[in-house]
Amino acid sequence: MLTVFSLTLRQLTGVRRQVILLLFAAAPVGMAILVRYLTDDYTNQITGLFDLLLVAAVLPLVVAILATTALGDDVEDRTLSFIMLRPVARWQIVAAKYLAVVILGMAPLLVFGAVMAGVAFAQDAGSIGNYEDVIRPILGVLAGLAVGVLAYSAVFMWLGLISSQALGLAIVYVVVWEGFAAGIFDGIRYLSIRSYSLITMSETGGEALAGIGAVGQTEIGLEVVLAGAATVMIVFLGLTLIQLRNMDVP
Amino acid sequence: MTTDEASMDNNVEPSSDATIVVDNVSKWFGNVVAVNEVSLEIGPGITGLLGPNGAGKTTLLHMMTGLSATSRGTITVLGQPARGDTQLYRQIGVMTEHQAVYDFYTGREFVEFSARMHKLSNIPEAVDKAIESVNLVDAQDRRLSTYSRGMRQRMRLAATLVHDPPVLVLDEPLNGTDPRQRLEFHDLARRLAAEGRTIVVSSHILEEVETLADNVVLMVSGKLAASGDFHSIRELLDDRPYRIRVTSTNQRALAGGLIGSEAVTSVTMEDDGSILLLTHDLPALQMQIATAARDAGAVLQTVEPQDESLESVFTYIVER
Repeated sequence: MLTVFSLTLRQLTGVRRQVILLLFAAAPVGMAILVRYLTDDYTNQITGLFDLLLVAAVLPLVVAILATTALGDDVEDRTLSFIMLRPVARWQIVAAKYLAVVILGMAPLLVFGAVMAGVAFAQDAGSIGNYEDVIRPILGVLAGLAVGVLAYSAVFMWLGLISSQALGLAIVYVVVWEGFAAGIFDGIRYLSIRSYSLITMSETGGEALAGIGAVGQTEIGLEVVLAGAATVMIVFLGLTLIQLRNMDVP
Repeated sequence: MTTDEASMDNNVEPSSDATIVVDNVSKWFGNVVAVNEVSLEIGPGITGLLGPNGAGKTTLLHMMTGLSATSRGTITVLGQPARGDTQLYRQIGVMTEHQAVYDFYTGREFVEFSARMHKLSNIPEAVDKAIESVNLVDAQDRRLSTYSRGMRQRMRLAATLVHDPPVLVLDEPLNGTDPRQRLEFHDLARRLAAEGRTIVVSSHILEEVETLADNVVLMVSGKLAASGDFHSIRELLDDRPYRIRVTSTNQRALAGGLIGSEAVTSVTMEDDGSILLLTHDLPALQMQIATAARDAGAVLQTVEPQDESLESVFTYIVER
């Protein structure tokens, strides 16, 4: 399992891909800094950026770039047989690939997410140590991002295995289902990773993140959200495993 | 294959020393039948899987190695189902036809990767031995992206051999290799076979298999065309008549002159006005065409062999 894990890390850490990921992940921080120094009511404005930019766009995009290629590129360039023709249990391959995607996805998102939260909630250098006003919202943002990375990684990795157009499909899913449909139909919140991520931020981030993404209007609790995210993760990792076991390897 | 005689029979009785047993296997993709009711047995030694491009060789090899499921029928390797149990890969070394490798690895790292996947106890020693066997010691620390096509093939072979498997399945292993590398591969394959291994080598080049394989499995259009000892297959191939198309300034007189010639098996006037000749004695026919043309007062315009492609040779065997 360690061999497949380290192989996947090397596959996914090409210079070009990493530069693109870092630029995407850093973009919300740049926006947050601009908002902070150009507007008076900057905390509320930046909080809006957490939803509309960080969680709705950057989070799924960064994860999609990594996860759709974790197995998808192996299928595409026909190197999947190198790992499939070895005495390694299929679940170990799925677990190793998933772990690599989660680590590489979380690293830039959590770092830049924390910086963005610091820009939003620290009034000055002296207030950084304030738990309720600064530390707790930062931890809330990190928790929300972590939930999103875990769930999106499972979904998009499966997508990469079943389709050569996985990245496009992932973007369509995010825009149509999580953006458009979830905005119209309230019930979709129960089936939206974006909502899981926002509600986790809201529930764990304290007063500062209470109204993020208008989740204050919903009555879905943290337990339900975490159970939903775990279910998504388990179901899609299971689907990936089934697909890997039954597919004809090119 | 365990029979010495060439066989056109698709039903093979299992024998005790068969390493790979293919039993009535078919594979289809939608409406396309890639492999059609193939049964065969492969035992120790080198077996050449021969057929033109698109004959179903790779599909059959993928099923033999568990990469693909059969649509119908069963395949066993060393008595176990070819697909399902990943532990079987401790006993099989497979080199697929695709030449993709992990370009970011050096040659040695690539072979080490394979060794680690097999959880070998002494990885450095196994890697050294495998790389030495393909004569790439000097290039082992270079990135694979800098390798020539032939070098990549050889390093892929090293990664296939690193766990010292008793069964080797090699799909077009000589693609991209030069004549010297081919000879080295032949020596290596023979050495491995002499140690009692079962080696299956696919190729679409008849001469390549002729000098390498003890036994041959011929596939055409997804079907098993023939199987058995290579020399028996070769006799079948040599037995086929050659087809020659001739045009001249006086076709009718030339055709009349060729009828009854000893070297000519049959003479047919085609719709396009050309003459189609069948013969088993090509040199004699060439002489007789010239003589007949002179006697008929005809000037020869074209004399063309019609079926030099490998596929036409195999098709002849199927239709025979």
